[in-house]
Amino acid sequence: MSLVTPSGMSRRHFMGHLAAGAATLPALDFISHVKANAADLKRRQKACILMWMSGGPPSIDIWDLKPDSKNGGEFKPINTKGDLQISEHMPKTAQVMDNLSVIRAMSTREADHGRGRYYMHTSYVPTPTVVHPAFGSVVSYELGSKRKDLEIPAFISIGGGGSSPGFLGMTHSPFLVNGTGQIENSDLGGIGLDRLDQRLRMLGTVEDNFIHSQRGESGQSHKDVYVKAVNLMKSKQMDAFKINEEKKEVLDAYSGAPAQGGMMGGGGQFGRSLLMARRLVEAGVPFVEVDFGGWDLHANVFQTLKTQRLPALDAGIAALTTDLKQRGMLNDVVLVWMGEFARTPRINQDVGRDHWANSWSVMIGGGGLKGGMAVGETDKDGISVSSSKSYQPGDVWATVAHALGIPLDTVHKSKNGRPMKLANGGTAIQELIG
Amino acid sequence: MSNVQQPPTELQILLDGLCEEQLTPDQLSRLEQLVLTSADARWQYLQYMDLHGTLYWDAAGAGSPEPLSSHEMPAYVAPADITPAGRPASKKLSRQRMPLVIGAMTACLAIMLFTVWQRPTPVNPQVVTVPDTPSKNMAGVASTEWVRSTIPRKHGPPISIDEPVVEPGAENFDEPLLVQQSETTDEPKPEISRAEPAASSPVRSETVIARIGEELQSRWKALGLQPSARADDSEWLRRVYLDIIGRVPTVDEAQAFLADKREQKRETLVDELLNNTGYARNFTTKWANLLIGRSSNPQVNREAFEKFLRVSFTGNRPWNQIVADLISAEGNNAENGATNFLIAHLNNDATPATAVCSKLFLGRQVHCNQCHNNPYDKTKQLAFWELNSFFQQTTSVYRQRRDPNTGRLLSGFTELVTQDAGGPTYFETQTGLMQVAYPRYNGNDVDASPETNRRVELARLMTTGEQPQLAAAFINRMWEHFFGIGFTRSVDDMGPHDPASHPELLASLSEQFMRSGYDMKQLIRWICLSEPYQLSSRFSDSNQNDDPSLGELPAFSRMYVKSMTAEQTYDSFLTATKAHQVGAIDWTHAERNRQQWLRQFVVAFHTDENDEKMAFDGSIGNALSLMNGPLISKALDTSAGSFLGEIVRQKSPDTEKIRLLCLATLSRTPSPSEFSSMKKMLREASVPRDGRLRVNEAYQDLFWALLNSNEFASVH
Repeated sequence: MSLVTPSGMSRRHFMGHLAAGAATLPALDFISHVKANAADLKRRQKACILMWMSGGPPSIDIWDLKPDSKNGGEFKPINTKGDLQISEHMPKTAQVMDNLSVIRAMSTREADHGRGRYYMHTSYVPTPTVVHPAFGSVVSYELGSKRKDLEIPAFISIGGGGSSPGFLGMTHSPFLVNGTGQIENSDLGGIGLDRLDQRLRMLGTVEDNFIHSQRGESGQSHKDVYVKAVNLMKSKQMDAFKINEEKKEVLDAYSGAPAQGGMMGGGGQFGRSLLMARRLVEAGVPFVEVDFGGWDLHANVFQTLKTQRLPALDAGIAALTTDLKQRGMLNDVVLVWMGEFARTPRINQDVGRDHWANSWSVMIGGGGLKGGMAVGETDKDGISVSSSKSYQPGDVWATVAHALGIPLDTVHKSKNGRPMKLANGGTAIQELIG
Repeated sequence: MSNVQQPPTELQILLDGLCEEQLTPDQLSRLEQLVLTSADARWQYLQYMDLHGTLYWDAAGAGSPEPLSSHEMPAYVAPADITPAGRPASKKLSRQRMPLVIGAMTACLAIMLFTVWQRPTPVNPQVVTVPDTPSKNMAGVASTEWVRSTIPRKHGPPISIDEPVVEPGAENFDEPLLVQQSETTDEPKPEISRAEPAASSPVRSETVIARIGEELQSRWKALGLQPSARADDSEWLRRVYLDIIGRVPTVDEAQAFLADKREQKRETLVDELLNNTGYARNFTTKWANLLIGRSSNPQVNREAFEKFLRVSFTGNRPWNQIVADLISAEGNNAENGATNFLIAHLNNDATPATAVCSKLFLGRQVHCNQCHNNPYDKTKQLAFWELNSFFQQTTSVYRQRRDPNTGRLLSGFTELVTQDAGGPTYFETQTGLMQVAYPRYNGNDVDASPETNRRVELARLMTTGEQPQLAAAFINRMWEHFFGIGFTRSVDDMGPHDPASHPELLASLSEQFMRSGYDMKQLIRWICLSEPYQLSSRFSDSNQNDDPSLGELPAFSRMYVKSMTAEQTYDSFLTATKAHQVGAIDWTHAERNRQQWLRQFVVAFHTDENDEKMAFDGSIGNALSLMNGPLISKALDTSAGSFLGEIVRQKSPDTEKIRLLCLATLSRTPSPSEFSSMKKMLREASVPRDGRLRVNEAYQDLFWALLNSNEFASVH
């Protein structure tokens, strides 16, 4: 009946936090303790950054080109530092491809935006009886709950918001922020901490009454979310959102050449969001999703890719990979690039590509996974997977779970007690974990 | 009100008189006569009432210091002077003078609605080709348009239905005869008479309400469930206010209801709420969000669309007619608000329009069929494109007018246009074959030549006569609105893959709904007075497992707790705190503020399906907004004239102040233990510090806690 309690994070834990906050002094102690250990500890913490290409990116023009097919389109492949070729419009990424791999044998069957979004985030196809958690929520539940010094949410979604924590509960919901680094309504609005604590004590009295009124668990989960919100308001870790503290060269590298900055149809935004993701991961956040939209290219696909999407994508991926490597974090941070599906190999009458889930590519790297590889392949026209094995999102997330150290036999329980296997029972991709 | 410039017509003079309560009984009956005999007059009457209604909400409505008494119709504001700038200046009628006006309005409205219900809904199963272009059509049909009585001709082409011309006066006599005949003959009753609305073969509300109770009881018995106890007045009151008018009751409204000793007070309140302007406003919000989404679209005129809905709901137009309008609307989107529905979904070869029509009106998801046959329920790709081809003549054009004097461009509008186009729609199967689809709905082929207005045909095929699927989809969605879950888990996608919890009840309610003439208010009465709606949300020992969130089919043996929507939260904040009265603003401004506040939660995905998400889901971001955002800081204002300020300054004991704050937020009196703990906290918080008494702050903090509480955020 009741929600499964996160391991190591009981309601008592939350209340403990609240009490600590109320007394103020222990909280200060706590913060200085965190600071002392932060630099070293945090960097070794595992994390995942999901680059979510909202709308469905044409992987045939990016990761798996078909120059000899009528489906190939305008772009040519180029060599990379890894053992695979990618699009000529991804030159900077080509220079870091020894760290990144491409799974070219995705075959995912959901070619509708809503269903694809759900399937790729959760590894489960939508059903009316249960809402499955996005993998970010799973990581929040598994890893975030164990990071006692993490005061900000363990699953942060920058510029997006298409996923749900499902049966894991709202405390594992993605915390939605925009790419500016301004977190709305997160300061005390002029009142002191003592006033806040007074308010929270009164709130506790009113809320407990409703929680004990035999009306189900919504009252308690409301309270749990407020505890998290209060933690966040009091936290110094909120500084992780302030990307403007970064040097200009870093900002420029992430968002492409300065001359193009801000001119790339939101591309500069993508780079800035990735930079924020790196800062959040450094602060101990185990899962960050960065949304980059504008891929629903039913028309004029090549022009849009060439001038808007790919320059920004290229700069962002290359800068993030390089930055993480320089900071010694790349072995602990998994990078995943995907959308709800990809786009038809066939080019339509509007020089666009439509929805396609049958044969496409997902990029994955870092976190100790093998880089520079192409896993699986598609046929010469890109219309089906030609290698012996094709992959589902569950296999991708199982690979990520492996890299993050989450046991693959982990089983969660849905609210009605049904066992739900991690990543829908997917298996880690052998070639990548070696 | 487009004709402000012209000298006022007799009707306008009478309407003004009505609102200023200057009417003599003779004038009143003249007004009745005008309204009842002319469709245009009815439209103007509704427009007029709508204007007053919207002004009323802001100026005198939620949070009014005077009770919206539970014994009277809600008051409208009068008079409204339209100044040359177009800015309505309103003043509130004194309370003593209201009843007369209210009475007159109620009479008019009642007679009008009665007349509208009288109208048979025609059934015509054959394919009818409309011979003319819509514009030519209009002139010919308008005078006989009874079904569409509340729509002016300028609002697009009427659906061309072969409909008997009936003299208004004759109707009352015709229909009982018809029914008697069908009851006394052995012949199967023709479908048409069953679809006939009200009066003649009245749907007896008590029967329907009793049936709901019986159906559910038999299930409870079968499952061995004891239903929860009857909800007490506070619990029920707050629930019904939020469900019907989208906000919590004011302190005065709550006190009036709680003090009311009459046995029929729940029935009375439901009727009052249905006549409250908040009813139309609430369902306008709900349906606008469903029909055109929340993301802004420069082509869509949200204000005009909401006005179309508001006027329709205020006049209680039958649901099938509203749907018909949405599907067949034509013209300028500022003048004919209904056009905005399709304007919002014509992109990508109108595939969103196809999917949304099916989802919202029929409760069937078909967008997957755009690309392939559905493996689960046998629906075919071809069917999607057959439905889609009804929209293939339709396009939207952006137009700008020029000021004839200055030559300056005036603000533009979008026009929904039907082109003279015919022939099939082409689509590609998964194997890459090109196929054709012709307009075909539910087994009915429609002539595919350019002369046919396909949308008019679709509206006719989908909405006239008995439409069990249209009715069931609507019932299911309304049931979900009131109980938190429909008979099926997804109200958007009913079908064999998602069996209904109470199929017989759903079928029976659909049947009664059709018989009532798709009467929305009647349906809400049935639901709100039914046994399950009277139950408490507290579970008993026996029904703890009746919890749809566990994936079980609902048994409705208790009221499931719903979370307030973003709109309910906003409107309830304003009601509980009268924040909208701090620095009074006009309605347009108020609505703009509301939309602006709501926008922070909208996530648009910018895909070809126009999908979006409302991130008001109880997440940390929502909590932050309510703890620290502008809404709460306004609510905590204690300056003169503010709600909290007035309470704090009242010369009454603490217990009374606590009681009022709890009533304003939770619609109930605190329990003795809550009283004592709140008093204790207030005392502690008010202890002078730094030589300063902090009573105001203590009350602010208590009010903050109440407004941020789980109980406030719940509809239970």
